[in-house]
Amino acid sequence: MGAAGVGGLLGLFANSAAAEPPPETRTIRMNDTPVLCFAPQLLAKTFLRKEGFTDVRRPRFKGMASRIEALRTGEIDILAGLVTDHIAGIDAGVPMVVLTGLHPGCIQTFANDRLASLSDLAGNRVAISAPGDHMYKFLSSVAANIGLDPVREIKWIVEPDFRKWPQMLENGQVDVVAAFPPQTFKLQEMKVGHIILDTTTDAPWRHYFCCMITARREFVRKYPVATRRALRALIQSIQFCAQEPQRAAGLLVERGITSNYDNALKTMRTVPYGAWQAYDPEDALRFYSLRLREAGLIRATPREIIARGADFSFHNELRQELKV
Amino acid sequence: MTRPSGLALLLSGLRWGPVWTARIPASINTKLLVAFLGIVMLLVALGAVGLGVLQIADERTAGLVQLERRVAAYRQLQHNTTGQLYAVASAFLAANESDLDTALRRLQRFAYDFDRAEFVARGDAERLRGIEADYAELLRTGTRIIELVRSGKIDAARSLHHESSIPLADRLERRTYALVNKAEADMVDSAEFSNEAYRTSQMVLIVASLGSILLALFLGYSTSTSLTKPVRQVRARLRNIARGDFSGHLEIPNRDELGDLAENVNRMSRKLHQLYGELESASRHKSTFLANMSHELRTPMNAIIGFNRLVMRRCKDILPAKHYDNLGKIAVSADHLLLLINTILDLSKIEAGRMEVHPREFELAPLLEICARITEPLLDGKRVEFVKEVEPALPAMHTDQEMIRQIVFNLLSNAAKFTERGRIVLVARYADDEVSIAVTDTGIGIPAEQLARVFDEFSQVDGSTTRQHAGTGLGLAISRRLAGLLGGRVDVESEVGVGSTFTMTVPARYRGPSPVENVPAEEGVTS
Repeated sequence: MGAAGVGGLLGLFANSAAAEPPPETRTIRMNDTPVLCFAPQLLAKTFLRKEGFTDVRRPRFKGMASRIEALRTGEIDILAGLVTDHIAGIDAGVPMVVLTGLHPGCIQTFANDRLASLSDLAGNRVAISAPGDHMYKFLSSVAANIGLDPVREIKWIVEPDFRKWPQMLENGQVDVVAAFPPQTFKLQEMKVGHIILDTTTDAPWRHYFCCMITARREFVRKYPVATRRALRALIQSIQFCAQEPQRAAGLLVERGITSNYDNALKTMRTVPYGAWQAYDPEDALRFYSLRLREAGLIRATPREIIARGADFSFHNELRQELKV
Repeated sequence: MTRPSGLALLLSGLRWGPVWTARIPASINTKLLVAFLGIVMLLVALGAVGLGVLQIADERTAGLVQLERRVAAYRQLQHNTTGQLYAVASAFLAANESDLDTALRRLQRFAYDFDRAEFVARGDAERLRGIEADYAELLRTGTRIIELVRSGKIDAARSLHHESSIPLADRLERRTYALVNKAEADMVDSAEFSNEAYRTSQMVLIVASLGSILLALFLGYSTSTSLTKPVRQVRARLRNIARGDFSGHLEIPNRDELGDLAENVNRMSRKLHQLYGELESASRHKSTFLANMSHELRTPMNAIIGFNRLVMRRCKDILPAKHYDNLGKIAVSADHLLLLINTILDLSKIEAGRMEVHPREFELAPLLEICARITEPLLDGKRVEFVKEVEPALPAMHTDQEMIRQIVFNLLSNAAKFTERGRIVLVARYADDEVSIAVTDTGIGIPAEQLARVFDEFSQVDGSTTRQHAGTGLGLAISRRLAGLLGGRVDVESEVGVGSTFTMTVPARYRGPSPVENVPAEEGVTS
């Protein structure tokens, strides 16, 4: 990130960071997931350096399950991902702590003409990359919210290469496809199907964080200052994306995360990063836990999920501190 | 050191429970009362646990109902929030007085739903306050927008709507969603807690029931065993005493009436042992004395009989008939006396254990023939038919021939003695390695009440019978004892005025004596 690009934002939090002791560790490891809505995490390096992290590592993992597993094995410290994956991980006993929300509304669900709306989901074919993958969990929670049994009433079609999904939708091999940006733009450009769910605009999903930031429990316990500083850096990055969408898009292209500036900019403008200050991450966990439990994908109650795998004290402190 | 397993503990409990119960220094009544009281208390405790479980379930159900009401109220609030936003937005399109009034009325109606939500959700006061504040602001903004629309400032109204009303409504909606989520999560928790409480209660109830059943069984087992075991021991001990075994000693831990009973049985056993020893010694002395005396009497008696016969033979012609006749009477009396002495000698030998069995191989039929020939003269002058029914295929016997002969002769002579008319039937049969010889007569018969005593020494049906029919009254006693020595027995069936049947049953091949001591007087007697 160019110094001119983030200089102003860095100035906003300079005093708070300076008053704190240095982080207990200078090394931090985060997932490197090339999904555009994760831009705040992908662009956080400058903010992290400012917070005292001199060694920022970004190991790559294929699939969300392996990233959750990387938290368990200690290969990464901080993870940005879908809330439903985090909840399933907590339910499965992965030692992880949800710290805050990243943003609400980034997923769009496309359907062919067989479906007029979301309520027609029953009996139709939905593309997923693997049984029980991140889309399976998210769409199961959606199905549960409209009163469907995702296991019995939806036909899940497995295709590991998500880039083939638009074609499959066009060919009639599947009826429903859900995607993140930039995949959503590709579907829109291809004019394949129509949107039956947009979590940016449709209630109740638009009221909840869909992507959240999670840390390894041991990391949080062992390095509370580093956790707080890392979270501050990520929040600064979120604010940067919200306030400087063109610069953020430019940086995404500059760093090779995407080659399409327009798509990057569109993502920065449509994903409501600015909602971070107003939204309640606990409520997001509660809402999706309720739905996943209804879908039969987790056993723990929302209270147990929050008690076992969430710590919003950093979030609350930083919200007070970063009154933007 | 290894810990004892559950099974080992159970076995140990089963082993020691009755012992501990027996050692409790209390009466049987008290023990039984305490045991039953214990079981009743367990049932009461079980009932109390069950009632407690029901009460918890009832409380949880009431809580769930309350939560359901809360969710319903919040959902209504959620629904109406969206409705109000729609009403305000549609007012811009309509812009007529009627729709504007409706929009305003709908905005104000929100207050009722809010009051209801506030009533059922006192626990969410903070969140509700936030909603209330947002709502007040929304109402103000909505009213202002409608005023702008009424005054024809549509652009200003739209601007206010986009800048204030929509974000406000959005926040209000989010807050009501949060309320619903919170209430739903509470309900899930409550339901989960109820399930958990139900499972725990179920486990508690099962464990308490099983524990109660096991404890009741243990109490029952310990109490009953502490009572029945000593009773069985006492019964076995008494049976042994009845058999003449005084050597044992009851070891019973009971400190109740049964303990006293056992002690008394032990004391009685010791006393009986002492008395039995004394009796045995006296009996042995008596038998020895009788044997010696009989032997000593027999020698002069033989001399008397011998010399009397000599005098009768040599002086028959010179003695007056009356004197000769008197000598004959002396001979008869002397023979009878000698018979009596011989019989007493036999009985004494048996009692003193000096009668020895000399088994040897012989044929039974010739022996029965001899006995019959000896008996036939006894029937002279009587209208009695003597019948023999001897099985032709009788096997050779291997036992004491003389004892068999003596028994058969005793039975036949008894029959001849007590039968004046009719018939005497001698029957011999072989079955199952045993030979039975039955003598049936049509004599006077034996009354039922006296039947049990016919095998006693010096016993006849009554004194007059002895006098009328002569005899020592020892024949049947000796016969039964001889049969016992040969490993057999003598049974009797009789009916007064009809006749009697005496049956000797002995093994064809001698195997040893019968336990005659154990045969009660009544055994083998049928009237």
